[in-house]
Amino acid sequence: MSFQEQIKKTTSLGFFEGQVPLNYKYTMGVAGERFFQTLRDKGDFIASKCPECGTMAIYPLIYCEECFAEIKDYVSVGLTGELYSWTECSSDFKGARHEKPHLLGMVRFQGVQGGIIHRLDVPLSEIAIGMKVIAVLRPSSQRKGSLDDIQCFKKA
Amino acid sequence: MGYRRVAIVGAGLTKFVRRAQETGPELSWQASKMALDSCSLRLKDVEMITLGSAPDGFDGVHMKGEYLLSGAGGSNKSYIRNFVGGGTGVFAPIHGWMHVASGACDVCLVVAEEKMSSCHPTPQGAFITIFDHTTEQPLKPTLIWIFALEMRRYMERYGLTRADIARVAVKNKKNAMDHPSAQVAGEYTVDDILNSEVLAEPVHRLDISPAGDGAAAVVLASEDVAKRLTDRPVWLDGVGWNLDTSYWATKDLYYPRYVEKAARMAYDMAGIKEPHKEIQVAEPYDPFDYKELHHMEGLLLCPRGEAARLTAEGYTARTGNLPTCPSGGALGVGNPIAATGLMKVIELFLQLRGEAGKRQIPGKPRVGVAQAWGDLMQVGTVVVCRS
Ligand SMILES: [Zn+2]
Repeated sequence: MSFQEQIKKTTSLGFFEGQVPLNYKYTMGVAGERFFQTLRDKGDFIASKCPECGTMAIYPLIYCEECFAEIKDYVSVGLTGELYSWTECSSDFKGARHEKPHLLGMVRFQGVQGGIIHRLDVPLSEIAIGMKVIAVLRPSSQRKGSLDDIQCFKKA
Repeated sequence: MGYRRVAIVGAGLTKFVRRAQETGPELSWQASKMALDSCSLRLKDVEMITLGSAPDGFDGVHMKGEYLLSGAGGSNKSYIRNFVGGGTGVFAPIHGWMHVASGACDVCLVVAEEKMSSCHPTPQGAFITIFDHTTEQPLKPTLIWIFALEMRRYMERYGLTRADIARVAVKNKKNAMDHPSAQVAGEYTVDDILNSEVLAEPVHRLDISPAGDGAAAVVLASEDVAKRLTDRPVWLDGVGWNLDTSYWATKDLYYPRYVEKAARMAYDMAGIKEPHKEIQVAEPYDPFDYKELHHMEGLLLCPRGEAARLTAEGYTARTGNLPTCPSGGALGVGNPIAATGLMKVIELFLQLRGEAGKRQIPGKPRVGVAQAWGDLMQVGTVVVCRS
């Protein structure tokens, strides 16, 4: 017996099967609820605005990460932003291949810290970092106040 | 011993609730902001931050330390998470103490958070894999199951009845009526506790603290800085921690020797020779009513097997010789795990400063002890505070 010994035939090892049986219902939080309710009801994106340093953030926060001040102000930033980066994703989190690659983009908004990551519906040949894109929302009757209220971003 | 003296100079505590709208980072920020405001500091004055939170499974967010970072003020700072199961809430200030006592920094923010309501329908599923997969999991154990074994053995060893133990729940739930953060305060009789729904004999519903959401924070400072910030610093004069074997079935179940070892470490550091005479207020961890008794004995606050009798005689009431859980404890204020432990340290901070309001115990207490416990009936974390 040596600690260097390696078991090559892994099927010879006894085993048990297990799982951690947990389910979750996460709250959206104070700022999160505000963001998604505004998206649902008004079809608009809002950013939080720090009363001390003026920093605006998407997704909004109830506190400023920099100066820790309480934030109660939210400002409309509209649906149009700028493509900051993008990817073409070929497999899912279980390792299965997508039939057709998924296009994802990170979109930033003028003067706002942070951004929104979502599906990108722009022909591959036309994608360019820095291009203007606009969020396509579901019709208001179908919006539920969640990330899926946004269908995708397309060319503005 | 070459340590710098460390003081608590500020504290913040959210309400403890069944389900908070706030996210974990939002709760963390509320407590942190209150703590900083209470000693007139800004985030920029904080050099290091330590955050305590129990298993990721509670909040349902892996890498919870990173998730909670922004709310704990940790962005672009020396920030780290600590974790020793249910003992985390009292370990968090010990970890902060290390930062300051060692000279690594002068001002350290200590945050403790738990949001257990995300886990549906209960967080019990998070505990399945704390049991040994081969020798215990096939029996489908629950957490309450192992505490039922422990409580029964404790009762057997000292000839106690359920009623002897239920007095702890009655006392703490009543004490919590004066606590603004309380989740399950109320006036109950011993019979109410005895007749509540049985979970695993001898443990019934009201013998147990509830799950909940909440956060707590304290600001620690070195001696020089503390004296500049406040004329009422509360000194963190002793800290101790100890972990017993993970093979919990090998333990005697009626005496928490790991709590005693942690307590002796803290008492030695604080120069306390006769804890039952020198300690004037205690906040032992009370997630179950019998645990307060267990822990009083482990903390050497009374002889073994005597805690129930002393409770019946009013010795541990707010007006007694040794007020125990004057806050209302986990049984009354609630038990968002890590936040609860730090809530207990905050209770000492307020009691020793004479700022506990309706909960203030008489006689201007100067020395207190707080303790938490957890993992597989395994970890004891203890701090001694002095005004
Ligand atoms: Zn700011």
